[in-house]
Amino acid sequence: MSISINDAKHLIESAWLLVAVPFLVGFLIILGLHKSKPLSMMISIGAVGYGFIHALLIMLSLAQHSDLGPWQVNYDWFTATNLRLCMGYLVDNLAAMMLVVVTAISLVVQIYTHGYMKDDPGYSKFYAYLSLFTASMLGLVVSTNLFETYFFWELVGVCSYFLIGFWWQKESAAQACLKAFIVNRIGDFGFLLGIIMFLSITRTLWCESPILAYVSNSGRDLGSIIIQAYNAHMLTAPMLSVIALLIFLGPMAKSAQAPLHVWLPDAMEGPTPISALIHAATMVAAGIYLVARAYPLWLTPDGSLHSLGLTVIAWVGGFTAFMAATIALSQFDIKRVLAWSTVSQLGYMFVGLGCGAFSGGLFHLFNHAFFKAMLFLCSGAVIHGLHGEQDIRKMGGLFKSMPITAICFLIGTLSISGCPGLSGFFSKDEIISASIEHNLPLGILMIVTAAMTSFYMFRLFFLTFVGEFRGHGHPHESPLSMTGPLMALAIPSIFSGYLGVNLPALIQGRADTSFFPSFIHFGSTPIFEEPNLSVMAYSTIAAILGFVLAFMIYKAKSLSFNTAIVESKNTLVQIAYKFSLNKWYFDELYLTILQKFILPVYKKLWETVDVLIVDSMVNLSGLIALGLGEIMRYFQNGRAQFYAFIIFFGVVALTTYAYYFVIMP
Amino acid sequence: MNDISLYSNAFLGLLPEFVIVLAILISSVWNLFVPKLKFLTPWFGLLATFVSSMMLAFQLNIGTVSLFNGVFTIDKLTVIFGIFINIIGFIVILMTMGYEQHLKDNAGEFYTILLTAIVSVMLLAGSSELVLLFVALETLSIACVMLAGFEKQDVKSQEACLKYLISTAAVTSTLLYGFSFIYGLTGSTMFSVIQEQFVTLSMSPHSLISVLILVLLISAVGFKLSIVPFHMWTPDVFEGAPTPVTAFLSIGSKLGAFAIALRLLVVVFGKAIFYWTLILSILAVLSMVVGNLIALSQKSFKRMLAYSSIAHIGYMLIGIVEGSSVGVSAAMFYLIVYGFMNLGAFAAAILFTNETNSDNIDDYAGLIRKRPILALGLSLCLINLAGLPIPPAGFLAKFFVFSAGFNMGTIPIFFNYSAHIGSFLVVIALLTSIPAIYYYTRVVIKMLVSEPSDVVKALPDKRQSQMVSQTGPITALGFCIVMLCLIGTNLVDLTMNISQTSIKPLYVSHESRSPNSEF
Repeated sequence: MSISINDAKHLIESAWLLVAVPFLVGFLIILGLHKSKPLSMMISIGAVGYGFIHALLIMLSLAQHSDLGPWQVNYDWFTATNLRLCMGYLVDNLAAMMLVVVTAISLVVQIYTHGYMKDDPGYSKFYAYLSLFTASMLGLVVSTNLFETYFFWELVGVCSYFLIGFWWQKESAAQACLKAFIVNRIGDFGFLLGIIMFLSITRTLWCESPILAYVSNSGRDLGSIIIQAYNAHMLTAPMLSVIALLIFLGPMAKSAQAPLHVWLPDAMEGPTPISALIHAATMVAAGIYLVARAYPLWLTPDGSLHSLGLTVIAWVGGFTAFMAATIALSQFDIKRVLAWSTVSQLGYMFVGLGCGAFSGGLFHLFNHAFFKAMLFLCSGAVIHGLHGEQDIRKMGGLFKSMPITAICFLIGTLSISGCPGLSGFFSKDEIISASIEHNLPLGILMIVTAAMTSFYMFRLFFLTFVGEFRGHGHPHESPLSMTGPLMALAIPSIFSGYLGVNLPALIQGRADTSFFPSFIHFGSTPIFEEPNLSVMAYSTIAAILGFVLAFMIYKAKSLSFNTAIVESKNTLVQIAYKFSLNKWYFDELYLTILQKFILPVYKKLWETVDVLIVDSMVNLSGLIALGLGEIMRYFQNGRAQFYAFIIFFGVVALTTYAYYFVIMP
Repeated sequence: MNDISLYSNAFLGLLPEFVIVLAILISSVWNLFVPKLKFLTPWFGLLATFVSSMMLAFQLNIGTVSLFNGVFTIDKLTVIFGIFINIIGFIVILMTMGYEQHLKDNAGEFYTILLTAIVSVMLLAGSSELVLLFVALETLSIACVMLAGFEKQDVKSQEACLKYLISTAAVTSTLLYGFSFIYGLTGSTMFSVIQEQFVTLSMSPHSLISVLILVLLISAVGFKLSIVPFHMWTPDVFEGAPTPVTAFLSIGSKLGAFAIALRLLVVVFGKAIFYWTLILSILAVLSMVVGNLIALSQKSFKRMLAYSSIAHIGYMLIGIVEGSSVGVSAAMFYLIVYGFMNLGAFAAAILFTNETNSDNIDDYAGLIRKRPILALGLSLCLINLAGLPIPPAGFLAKFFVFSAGFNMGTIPIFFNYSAHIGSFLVVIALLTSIPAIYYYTRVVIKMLVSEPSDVVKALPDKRQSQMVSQTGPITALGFCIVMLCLIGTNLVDLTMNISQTSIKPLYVSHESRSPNSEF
């Protein structure tokens, strides 16, 4: 399909509609349309369906007319000397890709919701939240500057709390909501501090152009400003590292990277469509997207890839990928296994970005969105078919009763495990080869993780869909409104990988242009890495190893060291197993720190202040004010004279401090 | 110019104040002479504050006018503070209309005293002489004490009143002590003279006496602003006083103190900026830490707002400490935004307490199921107080102050050890805002997500309008929310302009210390 340049221009210029329409729909449903269930559903799906088509057309336009992007419009919001806060929208290749992902996943999730939430009393409200959530994420995607990103970032956060806590009746849902909130606050604290620090250092350089802009024609965008500031000796490499790491706290929390990952598995408490949306397209993708968007922040000031910021990103990602994979090995809740696999795959994406494989990391985000959304929706179909059962020990043999779900799940499993030819294979391979080149130990860790990924995903598949049914009741296939989205997602899950690979060239063993990396890249020209056939071989072997192990243990039952591990008397093995089962004790660690350290200190502090200082002073001042005491005695609480005393005391203390400790010397 | 024209000038200049005084006179006797039309009393107040702020708006462009030989100055600061206190008064009167059932037969007097407090803040903002300043401040204090103890049957209210009285007395003594030094050294009570003498006389800013004067002044200002350690009265009085009074104390009387801080610290003692920066920085840190940490463990909604107001003042101090027009106008912006969000929260608290007789945070749970508008309105105010950008008024206020603070240089803080005090303050502010966000949004999440509490369950589905008039507080809440949304989106520039205009006169009189840009 070819799009004329004029049409392309119109499409891009009207990109703001993409954000405005779902926002409007969300508010309309809240304000009154919620009375009619079908109407709420239809306009909500209609809005995001329109968004998907528009986003797809924008992407096509940009692909055909590369001279059109980046396009941006800024509206002044607050202006002053050297400070021009703007809201606006920016459409370039990166944003277009993300728009497609978000709208596509949101569309299928919303169609699926119709089947999944049909009998829920909050049906319409759920659609309203979904629309708002999608709109906030789209707003984040088209943000023109770090500031706007921060606003939508918070909005995405707030919507997610409502959705995670949607079933507020459940105590665990309310707890999960709180946890997500607190962890994200810690991240946002760093994010905001980083922005303020960066702004206060570089404020004068922005002159009258929109502040903290990602892209500009006049050389006032993040990357150029950093170089200018560096050359003017306003910014040094360590300063930039500090700022970058502070800002990185934000993506760490949003994209669930260790040690701020603890909220994501608990966020499973929300309804399954929300898990799919959060895990695939919205919330967690925001972190990756921000790192990619503001990529110059993490480089060295002169633009080199060998910076502290990127190294930290790579290692945080690597550690998280490994840790989450080990945890996923031993979980029994179908959604939790998937949740930990998301944490692990997000780790991969950060490794990709951190090792300089900019398009590789984003390519994985792109592929992952489709198959992970599908896997989650499949798990939702399973839970739906089993009337709320989530424990895979009580499943098995579901292939017969729900074949469509099972086949889709198998496709997702193959894809995420890195089966050659499916989407996950290509992007994961790019990341692994970049990490091997960048840092060998990290690369090896990634290959080991790949093997574990394959193992736990097939374990999940075999336990759920193969063998004998171990639960109660009669499992049944879901209605078309649920299986339809699954089948729709199966297509990109298989084929999206071919966007990023030039097959004829690959067969000859060389790299050549392919759509994805030439569409999305950092810097002026795309980098085509040599395909590393040996790396492909290693990761394939790792994936097969994981598959074979899972097959022998859970299908053929010819190996039984899973029971051996669980029942092992060997303390070391037991410790390792417990470590994995209990998610490396992160929750316990945080709780202990909070309960054993922070709360007691907080309590002790006030007790000390109260008993030691306040009470003794009350007594002291009581003596001093003995004359006044006659009036005070009728007073039930003897502290009024203490209040007066503390005022005088404060005056003396401050004067003493200011004069004798600061001014005199 | 002859005496007559002088007099008429002064009269015209003070016309906005006279309007309020007229309302005071009418409302004090109205209930006595026209008991049948009792319901009209608050309307005099509403009308007077409205007319007065309109008149003040006309004065905006008259430049700087000195009345009574320089005792009272009308400049942009006076006018804008006057308008703002009138708006606050308007909102508080609206709130009180939903609170009259607690005031029994004395509602008329309540409005009288409230209007007195308002007029005293207006006089404070314009006073440029120590005696007038002192008289206005004392009028404000006594009015506040009387308001705090207005519920004569309520023990808590009486306790609040007495505690406030004693603390006020203590602080009056420190302030007078400070004034006596100033007069003794400079021989004048006029600000302009003091400012000159302070520089030219032998009083080097290094002397112990000038430090003492500053600390004494700060203690009085700090008391009204409830800065730690002069904050001790705040929680008791906030909890015990009638809720509209608490709302007034949380912003109205602070506005007066803010005006003194600007006039005295920034202008008169502008040369000694180094020393009061040092002192105020420490107080800011203390306020932010203490306010937020204690607010965290509060069960009573009003008490929580009380402690958090201490923390908010800590944030504003960062702007004042910065000292240049950038920082001070950021603080002023914060004060305006804080005024609306805080008053909105108090109006919502009145609405809730009227129906449930409860002030416990846990009782707010699930409010959205019974009173969706109230729950959403209160949520909006609390989210803004927490500094989350929805709508961004509260966030912008914090952001302006913090980024101003970040640009401060280093000052010695202990013996010869210097520190980059600005970034230190900002880091403390951001760190302490984490618990703040927690305790504010805890209420929001409780209201919107949790299961309804017993109290909320017991609420009737439709509001029983015959019991208590809720219209006043609802109007107040709605007004605050509209203002918040506007400031957050369309009126950011305008509000910032207002803040800048209001502090501009301060920087005309002495050399500019800020070579930097302005917001």
